[in-house]
This record gives sequence, C-alpha cells and structure tokens, in this order.
Amino acid sequence: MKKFSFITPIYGDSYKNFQICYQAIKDQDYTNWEIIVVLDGPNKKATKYFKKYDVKLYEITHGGAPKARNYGVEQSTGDYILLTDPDIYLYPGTLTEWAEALEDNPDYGYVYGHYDLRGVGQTIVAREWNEYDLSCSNFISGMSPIRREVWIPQDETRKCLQDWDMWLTLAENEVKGKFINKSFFITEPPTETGISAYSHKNWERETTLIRNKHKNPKSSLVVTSSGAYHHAIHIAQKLGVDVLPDPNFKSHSYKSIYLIGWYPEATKQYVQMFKKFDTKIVHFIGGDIWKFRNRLNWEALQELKNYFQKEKIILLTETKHTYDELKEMGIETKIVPIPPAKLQEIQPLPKKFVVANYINPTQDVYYEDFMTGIAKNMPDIEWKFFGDKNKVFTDGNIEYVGWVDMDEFIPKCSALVRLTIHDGLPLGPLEFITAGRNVLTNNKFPHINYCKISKDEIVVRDDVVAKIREMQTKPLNIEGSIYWKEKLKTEKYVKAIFKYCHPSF
Amino acid sequence: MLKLSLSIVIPVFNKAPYIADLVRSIQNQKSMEWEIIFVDDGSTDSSETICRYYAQNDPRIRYYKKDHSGIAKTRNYGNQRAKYDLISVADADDIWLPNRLEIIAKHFKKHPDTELFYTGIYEGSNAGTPVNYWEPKKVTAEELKKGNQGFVHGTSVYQKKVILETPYRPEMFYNDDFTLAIDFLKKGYKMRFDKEATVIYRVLPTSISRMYFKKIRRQSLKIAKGEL
Repeated sequence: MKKFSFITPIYGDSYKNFQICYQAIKDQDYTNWEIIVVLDGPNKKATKYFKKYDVKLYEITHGGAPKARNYGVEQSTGDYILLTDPDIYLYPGTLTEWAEALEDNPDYGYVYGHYDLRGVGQTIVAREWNEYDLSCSNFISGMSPIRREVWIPQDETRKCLQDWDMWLTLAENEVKGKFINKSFFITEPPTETGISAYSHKNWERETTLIRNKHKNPKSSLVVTSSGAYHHAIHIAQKLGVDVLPDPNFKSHSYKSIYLIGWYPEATKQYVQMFKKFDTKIVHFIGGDIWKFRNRLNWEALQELKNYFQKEKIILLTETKHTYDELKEMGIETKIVPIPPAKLQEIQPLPKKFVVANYINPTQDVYYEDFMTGIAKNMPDIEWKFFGDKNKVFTDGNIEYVGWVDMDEFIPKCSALVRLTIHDGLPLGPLEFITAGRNVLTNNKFPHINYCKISKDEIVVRDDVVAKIREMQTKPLNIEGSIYWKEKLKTEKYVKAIFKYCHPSF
Repeated sequence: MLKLSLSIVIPVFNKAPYIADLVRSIQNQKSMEWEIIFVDDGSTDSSETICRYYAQNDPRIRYYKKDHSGIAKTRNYGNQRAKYDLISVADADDIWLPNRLEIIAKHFKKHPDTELFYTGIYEGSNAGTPVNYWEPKKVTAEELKKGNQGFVHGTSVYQKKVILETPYRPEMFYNDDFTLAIDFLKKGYKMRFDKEATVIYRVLPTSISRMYFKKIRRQSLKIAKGEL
C-alpha cells in the first residue's frame, strides 16, 4: 500500500477549519497516510492547536506558502504528495480512487479531477489534460496527488498561481496528468482577502508573469468553443494563439475572438462574451448548423441574423454544402476549411479489402444499425467499426475496435464509410483521404464517393452496397490526397484567419 | 418413406445487400438437413461475390449462374437441380424465422402426403424487422377468381416430384406464384398450411410486386377468370 503525504502550510489562523479536514482524512478507508503541517513563521496559537492532532508539526521562518510546501515535502516520507489547504474536505473513498488511478496509469505523474465549493453549490470543472490548453489557462487543482519521483520544488518567488506554474514546469519536464471525470473534494469559496482575491485583482499582471516565465506570451486573438472545445485547442495551436473555454472569466487584453461553432442554445452566453472584443469571428462547423436548421424558430433566427449583421460578425464555414445550408437560412458566410490536427501521408493499401466504419454512441446519428446490416451482408469483406470505446469485440466479419490511433489504424484499412444525418467537413474522411484511401459519405465533397441517404426517406442498402463494391476495385486515391492536402494547407488557413482579424495583415 | 431433408432454391437477381441475412438465418437452424441452391438470373451487382463466398465456405451451398431469363424459368432451373425430396422456396431478400425448419419438419412428419405446404408470413422493414402479419388461406377457385391466391408463396415447401411434374409456367415474369396456385388446384394436389409465420419478407421500394402492383393484379384476374 503506497503512502500519501499531506503537506499543509499554515499562516495566521488559517487552521481554524482543520478539524473537518482532519476528520475527513481519518474517515477514509485508505489508511496509509501522514500529515505534515508547516507553520509559515512562528505561531504560538497554532502550535498549541495542532498538539491534539496526529500530525507532524514543523516551523520555518516566514517565507510564503511555496517555501513552506517545499520544506514540508522534504520532511515527508510518502510515495504520493498532496499539497493541501487546511480547509478542504475529502469525499469518502477519494484516497482509494487516487491510489488506484496512480497505480493504473504509471505513465502519468499525477491525477486530478473536479472539486466543489462549499455553500455555493458550484463545481470547479477540470478537463482532459492537454499541454497547449494548459499553457493558456490552468484547469488542474493544486490539490492533486503527485508522485514523489516527479516532484519539482515550487518557485518560492511566486506570490500566487503557484499551482499553474507547477503544472507547467512539470509539463516542460514531460510529466503529464491523468484526468478523472469526477469531483474529489469540497473546499471553501475564495474570500475577499485571500490569495485568490489577490490574483483576481492582479490577474493580467500575474498571468503575464507566468506565461513569460514559460516562454508563452499572450496573443491578441483568442479561440473558444462551447460545443467543440477539443477542436478549438487544435485550431488555436495551428494559429499559435490562446484557447480558453470562457475568455471573459477574468479580465483580459484580447482584441479578437474566434468562436468554433455557434450552438444556438448558448446564444446568450456568446452575445455576452462577444461584448468585450473588437473583432469577432464565428466558424460554423457542423453540429451547430444542424441545430440552426432543426432547433431554431423563425423569430429566433431573424433575431440572430440581425445581431450578426449589426455587430459585423465575420461568419465562416468549412465547405460548399454547409455554405448552401446557411445561405438557405439567409446567413451569408465565407468558405474556409479547417485543417485537421494532422494529415496523413499516402500509404500502400492493405492486401485484403478492409472497410472502416465510424460509429459514435453519444450521438445517434451515424446509422450504426443500418451499417451493421450492410457489413453483415458483405461477408467476404472485413469490417472495422471504430469510435465507440466501449465496443471492443468481434462479431463475424465485423471487428469492433473501440477508440483508435489514426496513425496505426489507417494503414490497416482500404476504405472508410461515414454516413451521418449531418456533417460539416469531417476530420476522419480527411485523414483517410490524405492517406490515399477511398471514402464514402452521404455529403458531397470533391474526390470523395457519394451515396444518397437522407433521414427523411426510407433507407435502402442497394446504393451503399454498390458504392462499397466500387471502392473495392479502386486503386489508391492519389488525386484525392493531393487535392485535399493542397486545400488544407495550414499556412493557407492561418493566413485566411489572420486576414479576417486584421484586414491589413 | 419421405426423407426429411430440404433443398432450398434461391433465385437471385441483383439482391446483393440482402442475401447474407437470409443465408445466416438458414445456417442458424438445426432441425433438418438442408442444401441451398443459388440460381443467379444474370445479376449485375455484387450478388455473385456473396453467393460464391458462401458456396466456397459451406459445402451445403451451391451456386449456378445463367443468363437473365425471368423468375419462373429461374425457379424451374433450381428445382431441377435439387437433391432432396422436399424443396423450399426462398426469395433472396427474405429472412427465415428461427422456427421455420422445425415447423416444416413437424408438418411433414405428421403429413408425409402433403404436396404443397405453406405458412403465415411477416411483412418487414428494409432492415428486416417484422411489421405486419399476413394470414395464410385455403386455395379455392372462388378466391382465385377474385384475385386472392390464398397461399403464401414465399413460405412454400413442395414435393420435388410434384414441382417437376407441374413446374412454374416459363413465360411468367410475375404472377409465377398465382399461376402455380391455379395449376396445383387443377391437379388436385394436397395443399396444407400452418398459421404461424416462418418468414419475414421485405417490402422494398424497388421490388416488382410493389412497382407493378396494379398490372399484376389485372393479369391475375384475367388468367383466373379465363381458366377456372
């Protein structure tokens, strides 16, 4: 059983809520832990207070929390280090879960999740670990267990945001964190005199300091998205600019905002967000357009169109058919395709004809049952259904492969089928086609095979089967690969976006 | 003594998207010994690839390809090549319910003299899920004259000697089943049925019976009135 070391610096009377913090640790079913309390400067009352608890008490000359933490870590003996404030309350079972997660994920230096604020019913939400995202904003609680092997002492000159600084320093040393989608503890909301209040008041200055230290200066453009944040991270990375889930969370100095996907249910939030920017760009991508068509009533649509016009919002879309859909609703856009995170190189086709088919359980729009029927009726062909991480098994000629690494997956496949009730410019087909694969979709794109399927009609298999047989006889799709690589050149895209940000660019 | 083994004759004309559903629904059944005879009536889609795949992988399955000659001739061609005493009809876009072989075996054990046996059927969606039940009826001259054939052709099992003696009328491109009912009635063959459904037939927007419904009905009425 690995040991946890709680490292708790104390300054002034910050220990006054320690009783519940201590009780919650004692109540854990995981029993191998120690508590190191470091008094940040002489503190008679605290010294007396901690005598009743089973903690190891140390005192240093006053030097700020980072110094106290570093000292505490040096005195500790545990395998996992936990930097805690004295007012947090661990939920039952948390230590066990952390220990298991660290055991199961040896490649990760620390694990983290969400946490709750006492009394206000608010959860501070974390998200999947991504170094680029982390370089723009912190989403990892300082109170996350870290392996002793990867521990790097905190920067003792930092007055605030030490946790962000620490995660960035770890990332620079190739230490990444494992995200667990769960709340692990509850803590007091920030007070008006506390450290977070200080950082809030001096947000611009303090964040700039951190970012300059990590050689990552702020940009004047910020990318954001409420429905496709992961996509937004890749886009920001291509553009070399910041990405934030909510750019107005604190004060900022951005001039332009670039929103990926306008999901109509979040309209109010977008309008509020856009107020503080000079240039506003919206890139419609797919799911959002589908919602425009199917969820918005006429009045709401008119209102939104007026807003776009009045605020001179730059509207972009990725491809001809989404351009047409938007135009039909009276929304005029410019076509700018967004390149995928990575394009593939042309690779030889596998000897056997193998068809990949994309499925996704969270959005029931990929005709999975229909495609199962098709696949089973082509028993001489090998099929790989990918995209549903819970489905990993073989059923006759269909192999369900769960989530895949495209670099490894695409060379094993000859062709891709992607049928869906709505699509923008989908990433999967672009990755396949740039690898020279033949692709079949029910949206029209250059060099991609098309079959007519619409959700309003009875879906019949005949056309789809015929098109797949046609792909079986086709050689490498070299023309398609060349066409799309040219079309999706990163430089071209970056140039287009900056042109819209600064017409003089 | 009647041997309870079944030759299944499947005419195939451009049915690539559906054939495997039928084959799997047959392969899963264990109540009778069986063989499948695919007769490809000159398909231009990938039907041949699928049929050949099965013929290569299952010794009980055979595949014949011929030039396009219409449904009646195709059925006759397959029936002539059957090796067992009982022959079942199967259309390439149907699905057999799991009880079918059991019901056929049970019937012929009890009534080895039945010359044409048929059952109820489900109309199904394109995906093959049952939608409507159709009840089988007795074949009579009165009903035939009204255009109602009564027997559900897609579920038929006939004795080989009977169907070789009275084959489908070769000139029929549709109504092959209706004229068979007339001919069997005239010959006085023993026809029996079970109400339980044993087959799902798909209603495809492209199927002949759907596209030419009125024309088929006009023709069947004319034949019945002229001949009975």
